[in-house]
Amino acid sequence: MRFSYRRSATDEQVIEVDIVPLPDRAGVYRVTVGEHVIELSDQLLHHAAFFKEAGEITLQFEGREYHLFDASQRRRPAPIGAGDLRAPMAGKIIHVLVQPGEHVKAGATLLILEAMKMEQQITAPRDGVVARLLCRVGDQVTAGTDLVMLEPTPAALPEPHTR
Amino acid sequence: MHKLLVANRGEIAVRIIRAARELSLRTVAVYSEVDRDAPHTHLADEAYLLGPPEPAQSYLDSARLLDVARTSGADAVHPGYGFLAENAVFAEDCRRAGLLYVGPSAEAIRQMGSKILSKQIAERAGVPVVPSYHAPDATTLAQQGPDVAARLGYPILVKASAGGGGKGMRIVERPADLLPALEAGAREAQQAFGDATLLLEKYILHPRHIEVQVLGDHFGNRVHLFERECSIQRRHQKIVEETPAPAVDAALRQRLTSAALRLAAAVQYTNAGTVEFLVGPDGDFYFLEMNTRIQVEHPITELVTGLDLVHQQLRIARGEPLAFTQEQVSQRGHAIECRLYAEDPAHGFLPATGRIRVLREPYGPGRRIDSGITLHQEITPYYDPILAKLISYGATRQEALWRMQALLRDYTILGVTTNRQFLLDVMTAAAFAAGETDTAFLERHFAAWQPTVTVSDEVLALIVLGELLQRHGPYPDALAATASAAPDIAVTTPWHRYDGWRIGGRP
Repeated sequence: MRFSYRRSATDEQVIEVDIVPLPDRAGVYRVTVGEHVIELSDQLLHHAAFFKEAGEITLQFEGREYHLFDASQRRRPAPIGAGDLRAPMAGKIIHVLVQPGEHVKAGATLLILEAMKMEQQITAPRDGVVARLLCRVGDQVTAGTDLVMLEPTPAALPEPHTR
Repeated sequence: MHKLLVANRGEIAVRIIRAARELSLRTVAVYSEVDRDAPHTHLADEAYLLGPPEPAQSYLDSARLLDVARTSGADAVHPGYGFLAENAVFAEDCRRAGLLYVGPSAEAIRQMGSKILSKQIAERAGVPVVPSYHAPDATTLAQQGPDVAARLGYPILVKASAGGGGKGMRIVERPADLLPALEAGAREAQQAFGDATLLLEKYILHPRHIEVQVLGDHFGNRVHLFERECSIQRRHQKIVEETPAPAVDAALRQRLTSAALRLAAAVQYTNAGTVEFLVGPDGDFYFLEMNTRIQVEHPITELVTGLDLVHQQLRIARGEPLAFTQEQVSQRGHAIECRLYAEDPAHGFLPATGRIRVLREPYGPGRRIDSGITLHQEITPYYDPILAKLISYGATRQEALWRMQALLRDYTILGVTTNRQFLLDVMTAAAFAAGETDTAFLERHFAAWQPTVTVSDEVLALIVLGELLQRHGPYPDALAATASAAPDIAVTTPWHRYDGWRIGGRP
């Protein structure tokens, strides 16, 4: 039986894995990963815990935690990175420091999000104009929620190509 | 005292409710809308809804808490830690409402809650505080500064009087750098606080954070229950504590504990409290603050002294004298605590939320788990992200450490990001084993920490096996499934579950 995985939700590369139970050895399975053949016993699972949700697999084994993504499910949008205007954690918007139409410099604080007694500043990843505010003070947001739409400042647009 | 209202949630509420029931008290829990099914809510004899999840409208709403006390007929209140613990007004309000408050007097809470007042009281009690110099004006500071700094000893800290948050703060290593630092510091302080006044403070290099547990009854008896070292901190919050402190010898222990008792006596302290110190590598120590409540890390003291601190708190509050003397208390063996938080150590320890999908809490000899969570519980962003405290005990530090490493490996929680692997790596670090712990430990050794992410082929094989068994059940069903031409048709077996699985262990 064949399964396919990605190492991260956005990874393009897919790992194919084959598994067959050995008919003459109860509880023993043969797994093929590329050229690599591994025989393992289901006894090992006594030391493991496994959880799968929305195509993401989490395995805890001998104290370490591993994450893998089911490649039969759709790839996800790129995860939240530095300077992204999405909520990095679930929480409550406690301050909105900008107005739509306002010009902001890279690094300027746009909003403050609070969760579990911790404040997190949401800062502008680049110079720009606040196109839209997607949240209000008091809103409870989940991790990954879009908070602000920022457009490049007109001056920062690439110069028209002239010769 | 017959009925105790526990004005808290999570692991500490569970801990207090259990202790109260052991003393044959009826218990009253309070909960917010998101804690309807939390462990503490179900554990108590009665439970009352406080309101919406926001702390201000639930666990911090003292008027509502007093209402619940009245309605339920409770005659005592335990504040736990955080929320309204260390709130002198709440303590006073409880007493005015005729309730026993399980903690010190409102006056002691107020005195120790003030940074300035508590230091003055400490100095008067002969408890060392960090030596500092406040000049009346900038000219005097520039004139006196070099002499004062030489007397306090380099390195010296230049701080804004009005300050906080590190603004205007400079560490000066050499006399030649002092005057430029004073000028720059004054400019920065003026800009940040509108006040250029600076002060000089001795900078304690490589300090350890060591605290002393004290208990006092209403008959003037006071004992200390030895020290705890809590140097391993992130964002100035402790994550690992141990006792005895590796760097404290009998002589230093004697000096620390007697200083703590002097301070406790100075405010006629009753109930459980903790005096925190910074301890330099030379064994000099300085008073930081006193916490006028039960501490998160109280279990390690319980393990080495054999005393139940929450029992002691309740018995003191209901008017019993301490049942033992200082001479009858001893430190036996070694205990370590790790705080399990819903947070991501790889991303600035940001709090994490989610639903607990798999939970295995591996109890055993020398392992104590003070847990406030349950399977399928939603971890919300409203409260402190502590999930559980993992505590190990051993005859020696090495034994306690082995047990903690195993406890962290075996403790299984999936569905919400935790600091479990981070704690495991701290517990297996050579520097920790060597007892080389100071408050910069995590910055020094774990600043760029990332979890192991490489999925080896062996781990991949295990995942595939897990998936196969989850879909098709164990051999021989799996054999039939792989032999069939339609591998994705799931066979209904007990293995076919979507809520995570595991084999072995407790349900």
